[in-house]
Amino acid sequence: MTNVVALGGGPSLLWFLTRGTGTAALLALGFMVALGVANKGAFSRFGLTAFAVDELHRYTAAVALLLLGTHILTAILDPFAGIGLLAAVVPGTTAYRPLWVGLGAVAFDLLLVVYLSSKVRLRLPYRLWRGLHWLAWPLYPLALLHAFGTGSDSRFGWFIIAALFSVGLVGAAALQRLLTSALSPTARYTALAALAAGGLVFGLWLIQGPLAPNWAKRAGTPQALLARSSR
Amino acid sequence: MSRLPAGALPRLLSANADRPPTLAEHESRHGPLPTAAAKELVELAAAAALRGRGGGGFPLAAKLGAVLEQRRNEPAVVVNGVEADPFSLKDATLLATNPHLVLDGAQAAALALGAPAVVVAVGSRHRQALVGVTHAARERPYRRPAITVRTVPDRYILGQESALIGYLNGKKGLPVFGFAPYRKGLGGRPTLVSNVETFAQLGLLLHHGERWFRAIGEPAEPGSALITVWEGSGEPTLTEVALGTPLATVLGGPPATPTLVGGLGGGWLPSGWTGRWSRRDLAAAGSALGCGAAWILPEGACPLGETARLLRFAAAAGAAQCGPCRFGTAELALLFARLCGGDKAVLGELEEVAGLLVGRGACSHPDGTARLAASALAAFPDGVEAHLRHGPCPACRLQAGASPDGLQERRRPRRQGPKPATPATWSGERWR
Amino acid sequence: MAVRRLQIDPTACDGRGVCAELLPELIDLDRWGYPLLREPLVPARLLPLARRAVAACPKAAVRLQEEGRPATPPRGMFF
Repeated sequence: MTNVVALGGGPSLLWFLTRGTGTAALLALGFMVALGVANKGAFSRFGLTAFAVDELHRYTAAVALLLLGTHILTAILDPFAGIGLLAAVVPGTTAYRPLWVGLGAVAFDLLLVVYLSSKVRLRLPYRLWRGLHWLAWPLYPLALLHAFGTGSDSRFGWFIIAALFSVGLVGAAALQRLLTSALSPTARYTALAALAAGGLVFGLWLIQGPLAPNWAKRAGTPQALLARSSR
Repeated sequence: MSRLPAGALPRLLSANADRPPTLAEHESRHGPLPTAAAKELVELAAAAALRGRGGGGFPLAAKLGAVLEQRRNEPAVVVNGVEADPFSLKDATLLATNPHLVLDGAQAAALALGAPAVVVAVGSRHRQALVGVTHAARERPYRRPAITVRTVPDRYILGQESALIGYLNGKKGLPVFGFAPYRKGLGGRPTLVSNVETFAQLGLLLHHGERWFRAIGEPAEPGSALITVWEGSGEPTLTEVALGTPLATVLGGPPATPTLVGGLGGGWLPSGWTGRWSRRDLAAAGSALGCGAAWILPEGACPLGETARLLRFAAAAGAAQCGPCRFGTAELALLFARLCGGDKAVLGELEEVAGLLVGRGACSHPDGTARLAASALAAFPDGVEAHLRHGPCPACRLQAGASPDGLQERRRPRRQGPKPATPATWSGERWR
Repeated sequence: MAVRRLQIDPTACDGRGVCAELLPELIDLDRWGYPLLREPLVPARLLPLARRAVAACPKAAVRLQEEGRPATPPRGMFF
C-alpha cells in the first residue's frame, strides 16, 4: 500500500526514511513515556525492580532521541518538503504544513530540555530538575499530533496501528499509575475522567481531521506539492 | 580584672530585682564591652571548655574555629533565642532581664570574626524578651556590629539551628541535612549560630577571664547553668547553679516525685534521684541536660501518662520531613498510649520503634523523642508493670497533670497571635 | 585508596526503595519503607552499584562521599 512514485522529482528515499524513523520514534516515545509514568514499584511481582524500569526508561529515551535525530536530519536533507535546519527547533518556519511541523519542533525542543536536564540531574537543584521534567507531559501529545498532522501516512493502516499502539502504551501506563497510587478518591476520579476525556477528544479529532479526506490540503501542504502527489 | 567575686552566684542572672540593668549599671558590674582577637577568643573558649547551652552541647571553640577557617565572605553571627521548647524559659528571661550580657558575648564574637552584624532571633511568644533585647540594643553606643532583632513564629521546629537559619533566609523553616552553618548560613555566609545563654557565658568569660570562669562548676565543664524549674502546678522559677551541683542541693532535697529533665527531648529521673546536674551524670541516667529544664511532677500525676501526652505533642511538633521521624514519633505515641492502657504486647515493639528513630532524621528531634520514651520505661519499671497488669491508673485516665503553659497539641502552627509567655517571676527572693 | 561513605538525605528521601534494590548488602528497609544504612562504608567491589544507586534514586537523596571531600555527583550512566 505504500505510495511509490516512479517518476523523478517525487518523494525520495530520504522522505521514506523520515516517515519510517518518525513512526519508530513515536513508538519509542510511547515506551519512554509509559515507562516514566508507570508506577515502578508495582512491577515487583513480575520480577521487575524499580531501578530496572527506570533504567529502561532512560535507555528508551536515548533511543527515541537517536531516532528523532535521524528523522529530523532526513527531513531536512530531503528536498521534497523544503524543511530547513531552523525548523527543527523553531516552530512555524516551514512552508509545508507549518502548524503541524511546528508542533513537532516544539516537541523536539521539549525532549531536548528534558533529556539534557536529566543527564545533569544530580548537578541541578532537585526542584528545578523536577519542574523541567514535567515538560515531558506536553511532549507526548504534541508528538502525537505532529505525527498525525504532518505524516503523509496518516491514512495507512501500518502507521495507525503503530501510533495507536504507542498511545495505548501511554494510556495503559497512565491508568496503572492512577489506579495504584495513593490518591484521594476525588483526585483519582478526576484524573481518570480527564484521561478518558483526553482520549475521546483525540479520537474525535482524528476522525474529522487526519483520517478524513483531503487532510493534506487542510493541513497546509503547499499547492505545488499537492499537485505532485496523487492525493 | 574582675568586679564580681569568682565563686558567687548568680553570675548570668542580673542582680536587679525589678528591672533590667541599664548599660551603665551593667558596665559597672561587668565592665565595658570586651574585645578579643579571633585566635584569642578561640583559645579562651577552648580553655574554658565552653559548650553550647541550647541542647546540642557543641564546644563553642570548635564553632568559632570553623567559621574562622572560611575566608571567602564576611561572616554572620546569629543568637538563637527562639526557645520553642515548652519547658524552657531561660533564654527569654535572660534577654528580658540581662540582655547586655548576651549582647556583649555576641558583639565581641562578631568583632573578633569580622562579622558586620549580629542577628538576635526571638520567638514571638517571648514578648518581654523582645522588649528587653530591643531596648538594650538601642542603648548600646557601639555602631558596629549592628544588632538586629528578628521575631520568629512560635513553632517548635524553629528552635533548631538549620531550620532557624533557613527561616531567617526567607525559606521554609525546616531542618536541613548536612547543615554546615560555618560554611553557608545566614545569607549564604559563614555563620556562628549559638544559644542565648551560650553567648551570655561567653560574655562572662571575656569580662572576667578563664580562672574566674573556672571558679565554679566541674573541671570537665566549668561555669554555671540556668535551670527552668517547674514544681507542682506552680509558676516556673529560674535558677542558676554551678554545673555539677547535686540535684538535691538545687531543689532543697532529692526530688520527691518523678522529674523530667532536659525538656521535650530529655529524659525522666526517678523520684529520689541523687545525681548531679551535669551533662555526664544526666546522660548516664538516661536523661539529658538539653535545654536545662526540670519538671517535677505534682503528687498523684502519672509519669507514664504524661509521657504518652508529651509523645503526642512531639509527634505533632516535628517538621514531618523525614519519614522515619514522621511515622516513628507518631507510632511511638500510639504505642505508649496503648501501654498505659494495659496492652501487654506493645513493650517489645516500643523498644523496636524507639531504636528505629535514633539518628534517622536531619535533626535530633527523633532522637530526643526516643530518649523520652526509653527513659520513661527505664525509670519506672514498676509503673510499667502496674499499668500492664491493671490498665490505666486514675491519673492516666484523667491525663490532666499540671502541665507547663504552651504545651498544646497542634497539627499545624497556629495562625493567631503569639501566646504571651509567663517568664519566671521577677522577684528577688525567687532567685537562688 | 579513598574511603567512600554512603549517605542518605532523610529530608529528600521518600521511601521509594530503589537504593535498597540495588544495594541490599548495605541498605535495608525499615517497617515504613525507609532505608536503614547497615554500614556506611562502601567496599570497593560494591562501588559501581553504589554509584548506580546514587544515579537511580528518584529523589536524588543518596550521596556518595569520599573521605574528607564534600559529596560530588557521579558521571552520567549512558553515552
